[in-house]
Amino acid sequence: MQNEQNRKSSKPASRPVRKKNQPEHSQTVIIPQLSPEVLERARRAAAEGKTAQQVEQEALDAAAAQTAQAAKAPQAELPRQTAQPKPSRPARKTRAEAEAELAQSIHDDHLWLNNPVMVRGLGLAPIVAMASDVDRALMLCVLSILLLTATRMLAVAVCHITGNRFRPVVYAYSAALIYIPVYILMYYIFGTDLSIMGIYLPMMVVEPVIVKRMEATELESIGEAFRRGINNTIGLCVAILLMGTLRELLAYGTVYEHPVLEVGLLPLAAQPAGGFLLLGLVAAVWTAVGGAYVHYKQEEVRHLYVDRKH
Amino acid sequence: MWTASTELTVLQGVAQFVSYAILAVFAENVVFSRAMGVSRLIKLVSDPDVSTWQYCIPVILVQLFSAPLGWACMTYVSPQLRLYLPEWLPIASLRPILYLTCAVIAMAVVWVLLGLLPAVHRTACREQLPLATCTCSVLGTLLLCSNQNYNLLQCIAFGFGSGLGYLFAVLVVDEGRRRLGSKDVPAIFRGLPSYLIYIGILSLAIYGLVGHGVAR
Repeated sequence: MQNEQNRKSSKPASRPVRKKNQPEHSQTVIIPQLSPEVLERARRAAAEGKTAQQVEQEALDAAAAQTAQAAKAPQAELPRQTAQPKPSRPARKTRAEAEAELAQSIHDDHLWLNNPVMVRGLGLAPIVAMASDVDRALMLCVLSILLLTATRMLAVAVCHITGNRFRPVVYAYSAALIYIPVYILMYYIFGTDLSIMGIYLPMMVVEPVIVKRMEATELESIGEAFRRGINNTIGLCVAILLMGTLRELLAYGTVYEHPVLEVGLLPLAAQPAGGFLLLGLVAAVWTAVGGAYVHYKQEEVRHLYVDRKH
Repeated sequence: MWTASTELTVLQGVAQFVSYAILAVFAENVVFSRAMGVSRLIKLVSDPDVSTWQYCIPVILVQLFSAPLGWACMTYVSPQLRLYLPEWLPIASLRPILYLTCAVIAMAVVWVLLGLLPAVHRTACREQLPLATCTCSVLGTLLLCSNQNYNLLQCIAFGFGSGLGYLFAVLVVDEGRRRLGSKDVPAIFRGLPSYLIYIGILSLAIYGLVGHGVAR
């Protein structure tokens, strides 16, 4: 009886005082999370002469704050967890997104799938008319390496200043300006051998592979111009060297003046007509292999995202 | 009144002009003999938005008007400039910027002249004018005239003939494009490879006609 009275009398004292908008389940959350720090704060409050209700209220507030802090912690860690790759499953994206990503990666692959020469048909004049042996092909490569990226970056920088007006003239003059130190450097490297390039060396300043970007309406950033310029340069150099080697082998039976065959199998390969024919055949094989690879990748995406409608 | 010698001189000049122009159209065609402007040509014949005339009229006019400027640059400007250049700066390094300036001046003249055309054609041609100016066929022809040391008449004839030759190449390749779209063409050859092989065969025909490679 005494115990029952004690329980009855103690009920109001032991029941925590809830705020009006305090959720009902807050007690079950708070009680197991009473830390030594919370108890210490309550002890200090009691020493300051606060009532039991005030002490409990402060303890509740402190515990609620601690719970909220604990709830925030996993959210903060979430981005780090999602940044880690999951090798077992494909990324959570739609099929359309995956196909768009594949198309973008194909577009950015200037070495193979979107080669400026073999696929997009740029830079044909110097390759067909000049890259008839490895020596000339090397000169064209050096010129492309020195000219292409620098021209693109300078032209983009000037276009940013001029408000993207007079694009073709800006691109062509940028290339012509950069050609001056490039020619001096190339003369230092190759000497009078440069004369065998004839009109095709200075003509590179208006070659579409150098100034192709002038046809596009949107203006890229300088960083993007650098990245794309490097990619285009690599793709162009690969095509030039491949054609130079092949044409020298077929026309003269040599590779970099080292005899490989007894006679040249196709002397016409040294002429522009042979260059056109040979480039057409190589481009056909190139695009066929590239197309087969693209088809395989598209089928792979289709297979991976077969259960997703969109 | 003209004398007989004057008439002979005029006739000789006309004959020389025509012969150099024909030489540039066929035997030394910018596309088939020297592969100049072939990238733009392939894009042009595949592009339904740009007609052949819309691009070729500016090319012909720019080549025609830039030719005398190129000759003046070769004859007067370059030798004078050479005197003032430091030793480490060869005149050859300035050739692109000099001849490009000639082409850009010609572009300005052509832009004004295109104002004589009806509004529809004028706008279309003016849109293509900058691209037609900054192309390999224009700069290449100027450089070639300079390398060959042509006189003024020969430069104008060769420049005009090169423009007509480019138009001739575009028309021939455009006609071939219709045939090359046939289903009989294997899939891997469709597009760029078939164009290149087709131009290669035409180039081979020119090579057979001339019998030797042309100067570069």
